[in-house]
Amino acid sequence: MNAISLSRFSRLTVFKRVFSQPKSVAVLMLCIAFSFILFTLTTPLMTWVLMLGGCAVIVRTAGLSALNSLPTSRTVNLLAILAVFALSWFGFSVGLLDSMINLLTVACALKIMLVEKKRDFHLVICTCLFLIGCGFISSLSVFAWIGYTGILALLLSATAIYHGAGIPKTKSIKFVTVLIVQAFPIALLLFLLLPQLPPLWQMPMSKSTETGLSDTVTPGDIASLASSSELAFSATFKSEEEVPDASSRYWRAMTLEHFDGKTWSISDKRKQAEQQLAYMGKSSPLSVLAEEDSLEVINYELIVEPTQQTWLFALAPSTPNNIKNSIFVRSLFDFTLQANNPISSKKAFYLRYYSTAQITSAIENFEAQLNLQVSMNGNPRARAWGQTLTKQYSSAQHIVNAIMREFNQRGFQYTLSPNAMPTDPIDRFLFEERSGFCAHYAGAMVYVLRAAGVPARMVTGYQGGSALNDNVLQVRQYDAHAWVEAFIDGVWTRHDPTSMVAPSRLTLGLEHALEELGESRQTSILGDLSNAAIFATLHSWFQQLDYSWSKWVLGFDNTAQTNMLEELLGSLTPQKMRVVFLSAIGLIGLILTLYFLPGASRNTLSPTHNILLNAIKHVEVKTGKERGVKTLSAYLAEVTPLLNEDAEKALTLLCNQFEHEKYAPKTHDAKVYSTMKHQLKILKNALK
Amino acid sequence: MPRMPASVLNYLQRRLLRWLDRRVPASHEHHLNLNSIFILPSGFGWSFIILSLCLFLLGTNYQNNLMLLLSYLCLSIMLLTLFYTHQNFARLALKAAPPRSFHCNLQGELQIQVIPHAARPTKTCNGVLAIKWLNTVRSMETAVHASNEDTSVDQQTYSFSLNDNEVAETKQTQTLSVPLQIPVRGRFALGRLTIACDFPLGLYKCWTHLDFNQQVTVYAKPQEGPVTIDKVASSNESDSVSQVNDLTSNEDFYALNDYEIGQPLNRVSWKHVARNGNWVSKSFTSFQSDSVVISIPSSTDIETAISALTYATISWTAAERVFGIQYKGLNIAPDHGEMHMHECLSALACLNSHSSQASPASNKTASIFSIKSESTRSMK
Repeated sequence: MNAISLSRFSRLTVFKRVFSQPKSVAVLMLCIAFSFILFTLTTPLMTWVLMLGGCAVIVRTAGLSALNSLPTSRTVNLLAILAVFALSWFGFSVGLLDSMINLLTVACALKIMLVEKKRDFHLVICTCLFLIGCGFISSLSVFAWIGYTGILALLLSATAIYHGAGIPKTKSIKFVTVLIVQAFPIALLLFLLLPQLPPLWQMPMSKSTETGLSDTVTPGDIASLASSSELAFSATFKSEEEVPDASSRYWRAMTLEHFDGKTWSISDKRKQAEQQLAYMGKSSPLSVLAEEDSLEVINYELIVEPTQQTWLFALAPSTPNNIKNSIFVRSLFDFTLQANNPISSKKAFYLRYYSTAQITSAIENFEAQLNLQVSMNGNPRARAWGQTLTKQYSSAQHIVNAIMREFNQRGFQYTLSPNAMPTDPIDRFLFEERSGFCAHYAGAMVYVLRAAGVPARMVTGYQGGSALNDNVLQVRQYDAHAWVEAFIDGVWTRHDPTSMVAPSRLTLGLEHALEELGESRQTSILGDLSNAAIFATLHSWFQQLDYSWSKWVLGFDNTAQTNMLEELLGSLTPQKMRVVFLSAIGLIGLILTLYFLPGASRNTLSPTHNILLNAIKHVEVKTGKERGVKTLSAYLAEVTPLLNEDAEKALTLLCNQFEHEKYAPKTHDAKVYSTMKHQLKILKNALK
Repeated sequence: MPRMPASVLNYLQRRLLRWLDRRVPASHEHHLNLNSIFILPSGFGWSFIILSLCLFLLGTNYQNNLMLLLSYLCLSIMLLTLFYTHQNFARLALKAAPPRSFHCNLQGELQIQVIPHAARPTKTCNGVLAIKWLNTVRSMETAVHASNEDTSVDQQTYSFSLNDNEVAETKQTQTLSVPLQIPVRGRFALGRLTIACDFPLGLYKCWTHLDFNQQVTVYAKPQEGPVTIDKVASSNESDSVSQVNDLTSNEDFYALNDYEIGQPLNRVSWKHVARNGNWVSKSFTSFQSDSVVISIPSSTDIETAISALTYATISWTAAERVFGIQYKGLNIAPDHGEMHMHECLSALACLNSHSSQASPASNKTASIFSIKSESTRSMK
């Protein structure tokens, strides 16, 4: 019993000793900040790196007290060698960017165990700051930003405490908070006015974070996207009228023209043809479309979440407005849009939608030929059906209608969890299972159409979108969709077999359709919570915030900058730009003078004096008697009859203490300050 | 012959010091201001800037506005810290106390008081002061001395964390004792102190070079050695040669006699004179109680001789005996007491090693500057 209490006591004293040393506290805060960073970087970091980091933090924290000793530098060096081997072993599988982040984290973790000198401390601080920067590669939300700013503040506080020697920790933390608050306007000014440069060179992309649609579809992939309710992109239109109807919100991403019997993919021939055509300098039909003036144009803006891919999602047919786009977008011959660089961060794209134009073909023969290829690998019944359809109907349109009718009438069902169809998937789907989702329907239909001699291709993208505002549509990953384009009379026409099976999927969205069918998207339990009213409000509020954040902060690019300046100054000339930069420097100077020039109002009175003045102000308000230039004792004599007992006592005590502090030979006054503060409180209460 | 780079370095340092003398003149008291403060990013500061630039590049290449914002935030913090560091350091005011003499084999110290700044009396400087000697000794000859004797300028940095008495407002001043090492004897004007502070975040190093206009006498190293003891009575003859090694021998106070004219004044018991006007003289039991003059034959090496004399002075004073010193041009009348010891030690310390015949008339108080000027002349 005694021993336990003794050990507890000693532990307490150990803690006290640790907290009384500023350097230990600084290292402790550094450890906390590092563990926060580890926590936020769980995706790019490998498990063993996370564990190493965690252990390093624990070892370091334990080592702060004299009871536990830190690992020797030899141990750490040995660990470092092991870590280098492990990193180079795993590095190939995770990609350059992630292995760099892992390397930094490992270095930081190993160094944190050895922090002895000032230099080590500074090194770890710098590495942690860089890791924060790396964290922004993958997390871009408001909350990530707030969190990382908090970690930055923690790191700076640790530095301040490390260098602050004797000054109280609360003061250091306060200083850092003030510093960041003061630095923020300057940073914002720099952000708004410094030119936004295009990427200087190609950076390695994270392998694991490629999200969204993939360029191959094996029925099953789109269903896996359906479980994700993450935002894919938001589209902003000029006005409410320009927002397309629910049934025509087809966001086209890519055309899959090659089928090997199981998987749909982008045709290699198509890729080669695109290259050759680009080499020949032939302009794509979309760029021809862009030059026509007669058509009705709807301008809209897409804010695309990072996909690490180059495909863009657009209402067909849309042309890119490359004057405003920060990444150049190419328009291809199949009317798809491709950015020149992978979309690695939230990016705004400006597009023009020609609602009345049709998807034509500039290379009819090639496209027709490409889209008539039927894979002879399995699926004999579907092929046979296609051939019978050719005999039955004279025109392509009739064949399409027949297939659609078939889907509508033969008891096909829409489900996100169909049975696996490993062999002859189309045959099994059409003639046995008769239940599946968009990819199944689209795949089967394209196959049959091709067998029937109608050129057809599978198109993937998103369908739908929920309105955030009157003029903003948000499209989420579960809106991923696949449909069919058939080449009829020189025009690619869109046909959506899913609409035959689950019409509500198109008009009301996936969630609603599934609800009707008695299925759910298999999301988390939190999904139920979102039904409650308050959560719904919060949810929509967060969505709004996120959208504004994306639009104004993340989407702030060269175009937005130029727009802003043009709105302020009219058309931009070099002279005006010069004025802008000079005034930016001037503004920063002004901010600095505001911060640092000793103003006339700067309070130079002692803290006890302030308390007294505060107290007198309260008394003046209560009694209505101004102190003016009366001496303290005269004023006291004047107001005491007007006050109640408690207030009078407190005020008298305050005055006495102040006089004593001010005029008597020096006594220890930290205590006086606290007692005066206490008396002020009593006085305030008494005056109420 | 000094090598080329060394001479260039020397030249540069001399230029620097001359420039500093004009910019920050020597004074007992310094209130730091725009003129006297220098500020540059520290190593950490530079790495912070490089880090910000790296973040900028990364943000640009990934077209990531948050990274750009972070980089700008870091740069703004860097900019603000510049002002905070300067503001903090500009509140520092220092005042030096005259340093006490010390022996050249020991360490002396310069005591500096932190006082409220004239322009900002309510605020105090915070953080850790790193204090280093830029040049321990002001004059040029010591640099030559130092390079000759291979004892470079004291490069050690001493750290003092300043009290935070902004809240407490106690007016008690803090005193910083800066260790001082001068390995040669003599009288020196102290050189410049480099005082640096990196207070709020360590991103900048704010420093100043201050000359506190102080002078210090560095006594020779005391070392036991053979000295000749002459009785004053027998004037210059060195008849009673005794190797005195044990100086704590019998020299007990014996009796008080009436003062007779002719007896040395230092035997008078001034206490009694002051009390009742009776002139009495003290007599001691041993024969050595007579006032003596310590000397060393001029054939001995001068430094050894001075060390031995220094040692003798200390031990004879500890034994409360009356003695004078005669060595080369130095002539100190017999006396006793602490004051006398310091006089002797100072005179010994300032004795010019090259001017054995040049300064017969230099008396001990005036010797300080004349010897110094002579020595500079002899160095040239």
